[in-house]
This record gives sequence, structure tokens and C-alpha cells, in this order.
Amino acid sequence: MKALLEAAGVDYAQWLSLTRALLKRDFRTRGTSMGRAGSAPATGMRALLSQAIMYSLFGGLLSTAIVFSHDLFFIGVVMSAYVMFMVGTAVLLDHSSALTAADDFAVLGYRPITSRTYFAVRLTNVLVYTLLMTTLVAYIPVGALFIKHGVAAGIAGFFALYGTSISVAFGLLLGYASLQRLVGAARLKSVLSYVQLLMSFGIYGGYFVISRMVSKSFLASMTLTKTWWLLALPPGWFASYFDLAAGQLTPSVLLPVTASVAMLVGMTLALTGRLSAGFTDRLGESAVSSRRASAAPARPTKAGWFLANRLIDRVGRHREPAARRARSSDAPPRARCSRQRRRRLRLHAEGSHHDGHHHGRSKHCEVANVQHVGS
Amino acid sequence: MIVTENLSRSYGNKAALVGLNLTVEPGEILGFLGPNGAGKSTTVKILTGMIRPDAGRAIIAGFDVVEQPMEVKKRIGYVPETAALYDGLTGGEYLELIACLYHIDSKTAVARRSELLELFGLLGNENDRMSEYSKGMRQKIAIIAAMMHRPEVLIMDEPLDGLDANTAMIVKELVKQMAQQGKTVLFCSHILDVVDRMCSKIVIINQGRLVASGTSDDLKHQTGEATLEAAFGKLTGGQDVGRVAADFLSALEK
Repeated sequence: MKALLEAAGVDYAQWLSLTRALLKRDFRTRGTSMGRAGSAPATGMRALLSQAIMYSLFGGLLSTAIVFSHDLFFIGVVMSAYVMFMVGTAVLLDHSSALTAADDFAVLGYRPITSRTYFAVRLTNVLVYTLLMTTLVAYIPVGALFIKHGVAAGIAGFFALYGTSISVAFGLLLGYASLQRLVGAARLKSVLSYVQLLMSFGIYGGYFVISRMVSKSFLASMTLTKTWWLLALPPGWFASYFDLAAGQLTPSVLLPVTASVAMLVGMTLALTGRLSAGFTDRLGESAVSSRRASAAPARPTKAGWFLANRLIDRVGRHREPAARRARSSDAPPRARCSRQRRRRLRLHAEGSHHDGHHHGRSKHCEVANVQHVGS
Repeated sequence: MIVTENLSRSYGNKAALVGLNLTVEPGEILGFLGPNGAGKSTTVKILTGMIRPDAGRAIIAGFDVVEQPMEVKKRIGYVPETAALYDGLTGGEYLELIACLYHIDSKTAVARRSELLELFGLLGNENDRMSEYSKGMRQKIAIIAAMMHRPEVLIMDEPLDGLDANTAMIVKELVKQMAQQGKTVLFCSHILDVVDRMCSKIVIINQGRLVASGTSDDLKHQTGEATLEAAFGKLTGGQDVGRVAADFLSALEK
């Protein structure tokens, strides 16, 4: 592990101590749920216990398919689609700020931590949560696979579930990190909202398409026919692990399995390559931008509020001229102050601010001016 | 040593820092002053490697902050304006983390941590979570965290904020003694009396530009004022404070 991380340019001692500290902090303050705005989740052991019970119940439900079906491909698609949905939702909702959070930057930005080390810490942090979640869901189904379908199927199920989990987490983080690189720091937050909305459609939509298709099949025979389009989807790739474990070495098995491995390797290389270099610089610019943006009125940024935001914007735009007229007639001192502030800024720019000749009202504006410019 | 040459930085189309030239020699405590929004925080962020300048360069302890940020970060100790800490950790755990980040061996780290916590009266609180700490206790942890690795250059942004009088005296004395040992200190503060007494040199910036530099006496002489406070007000376009206060009160009476 140490050699692997150091080969990737990660400082092992820093990675280990930071990972421990951040996990400790997160478990103590937020339980297994991270950064969900407006929520006050249970923390520590209580949170872990409630999450363990909930995910175990989901795992138990998945096991019914294993007990009643003999079609391992069907079982694989169901399990993989479910884990994809679960991990995707968790990363979208709870870890959406995992790579773009400015909080850490205030504490670590001036410490001698390389971009790659910090990126590895954030990646590990997300992986620990998603793998913990996957373990809580997987232990009953994988156990059932071992008992009902044998050791090979159990091992295939283990790799299919964890492979799915890591792929989804990596995929979403890759999306966030690429955006951070491509979009300027100033626009990152708003762009992320749109992307989050699109990814939500992808994850929820994909889940419902597959679950709908699976439920029909489930009612009929609890089997699933391998179609080309099913094999073109990642749940089909991971479900093919079962066929591989059963010794089938046909192209319809090898190609999806190869695709899943290639996807994982590709994403790992992409995340540990250019995206991790310069990561802290981009985070620094984001931190500065978000602090400056926070001076503006707070707006909801969650994707779910997208439509409401647009609506508020439209209404606001229609009402603005009337509101401005009302302000100019009803509150002349404020408007005058504003005009004077602009005039004074112009004077400052022209270098004539040392004349020392100001009358009383402009001094109110000066106070406001200093606060306005304040860092 | 800290050297900046034509350091500039903008946020959008707003210039926060315009061609700043600074030199702080080893053993010197530089008081870095300016009104709110003058560009102090931007300068400090650039010097600490948190953001990049748009133009110009900054050299700290012989290393360029843009070209060799890791070398710079290893050599600086920074006390930020607001003590940003991991509240979920205990004071002891946080300092242990900081020691690891600077690769201080565990034996030395434990010894230094205990000694510094004891000096600041925090030894009994090291196992409490920092979310339960007072503002002063948090500031003490931030100061210890900035000094644990014995930095060559110390950058302090309002370090006395929230500290009780006794601890503030300790910190002031500590900074003076560190300067005597040859460390370079950049000291940002709005408490001008402290700056007047502590700093060997003062730089005042306003609207991103350097407006004055020299000793406290130089600045008083340049402006013809008796106090550093009055000189600062004159140099940064400060207002007639008596009149502003009177206007403020009359506004409240309306």
C-alpha cells in the first residue's frame, strides 16, 4: 500500500494521518452522512448502527432474488443495479462536496501537502464511506450466494458488488474533478448544480428503467435474457462476472467483463493522473470565489431547487424595475448614498481622495464604502 | 526573509493588490497594516501559497511561492485571521495531525505538544473536542499549530484576537524572542498600539497599493501626526472619527 501510494506521488505519512483525522472528524460530527444541507443526522455509533440496520435490510431484500432464482445473470443485474443506485445517490447527495469543499482548504491550504496527497485523501474518504455502505448491503446477499450457488458464485458476487460500487463512486468523482478542471472556479458551483441534476436523472432514470424491466421478468420466470443492449450497460458488465465464474469464456461474457475492468482502470488512471495535479490550486481559487460569492444573497444550490431558482429569478427580474422605482422615491437617502458612493469611488480612482474636504452625508457613505470593499 | 516584487492580484475586474513591493529581513517584525479590503488578506494568501498572484513574484526563505510552494509551506508558520480547525477533533489530536503533516517524529511531537499546551494553559483540555473550546482556546491551538515545526518565517493575521491579556503578553514576547532568534515575522493587526510597540518596521497598504513604509517614527514624521493611529488615518483616508460618531448617533435618533 505504502509503495503503491508513494509511486503515485502521494506522501504516505500525510495521507495516513489526514485520512484517519478526517474520518474521525466525520464520524464524530456527521455519522455516515456527509454534508447534507439542512439535515442534522445522528452521529457516531448511533448513526452507524441505524445505517447498518437499514442497509442490512436492503441486503436481505436482495437475497430473496438469490434464494428464488437460478439465473445468476439476473441476480447479478439486480444486485449491480441496486448498488449503483444506492452508491450513486449517496455520492450525489452526501458527498457532492467531497472534492469541491472549501472547508478543508482553510485548514490545510497553507500546509505542505501536495495536490496528489490531498486528492488521495479525499478519494479515500469517499471510498471508505461507499465501501462501508456496500459491505453493509452485500454481506447477506454474498453469504446467500455462497450457500445457494457455491463458492465461485459467491466470489463473483463479491467482485461484482464492490466493482460496481467503486465504479460509480469513481465515475461521479471523475465527473466532479473534470468539471473543477474545465470550469472556472467562479462558475463551478452553479455548473455543479446543473450537472448534479443531470446525474440524478441518469441514476434515478437508469434505476427505474432496469427495475421496471426486471420486475416484468421477475414476475414471469425470475430470469433475464442476455440482450445486446443489456450487455451495453454497466450492470450487465458486472453481472457477467457470474458467467465467467461458471467457466463460460464466450465473447458475450469476456467483452462485458473486459469493459468493466477497463472502465475501472481507466477511471483510476484518470483520477490519479492530471486531475489530481494542481487540485489544491483549483480548490484554493474555488475557496476564494465561494467566499466572495457568499457576500451575495444566499441562494439554494441543490439541483432539486433548480426550477424554483429559475422561477424566483424570473419573478425577481419582472419585479425589479418597480422595486427600484419604489426605492428611488421612498428611500431617497439610501439612493443618494449609493450615488455618492459611486462618485467617491470615481474620485478615489482619479486619485483625488486626499483633498480632505468631505461634508457630513458623504461620511455615511464612506463607512458603507469601506464595508463594501472589505475582504 | 520575505520579498515581494510587483505582486498583483485581481478578483474578476476588481484589483485587490497592485504591484506590491515588500522586503522583510530575518530578525525583523513587519507590521502589515491597512483598512478593511486594502489587500492584506490577499497578500497573506499569496505568501502562504493559498492563491496565486496574477503578476509579480513572492520569495519566502529563498523559495518562490509559485514555483516551489511546498518548500515555502514547509518553512512558514501561519496563524490565520479566524482559527480554522477541525472541530470534531480534540486539541491533542489536531496537534498530532499537524506534527504528522510536517513529518515531526512522534517523540519530539509529543514533547513539544505537551510543553506548548502547558505554556498556554491547555494541558487539561487537550482531550476535549475543539467544538467545545472558547475563541481564545481555539486561537491558542492555532498559534501552537503554527509554531510546532519551528518555522523560519511566521505570518500572523490578528494573532491576539480572542486571547486573554496574559496569553496575549506571552504571544507578544514569544514573537519578539523569535525575531531575536533570526526568524522573519509578518504581523497583521488592527491594534495599532501593539504594532507600534512590537514591530521594527511598518508597511501600510490601501486599495491594494503600498502607501507608506518605515519605522513607526518615520510614519509619524512623514504625516506630521503624534500617534501611529493618527498617521494611519491620514495615510488611508480615514475620517473625522468624532464627526462620524456624532452622525451615527443622530442617524439612530431619526
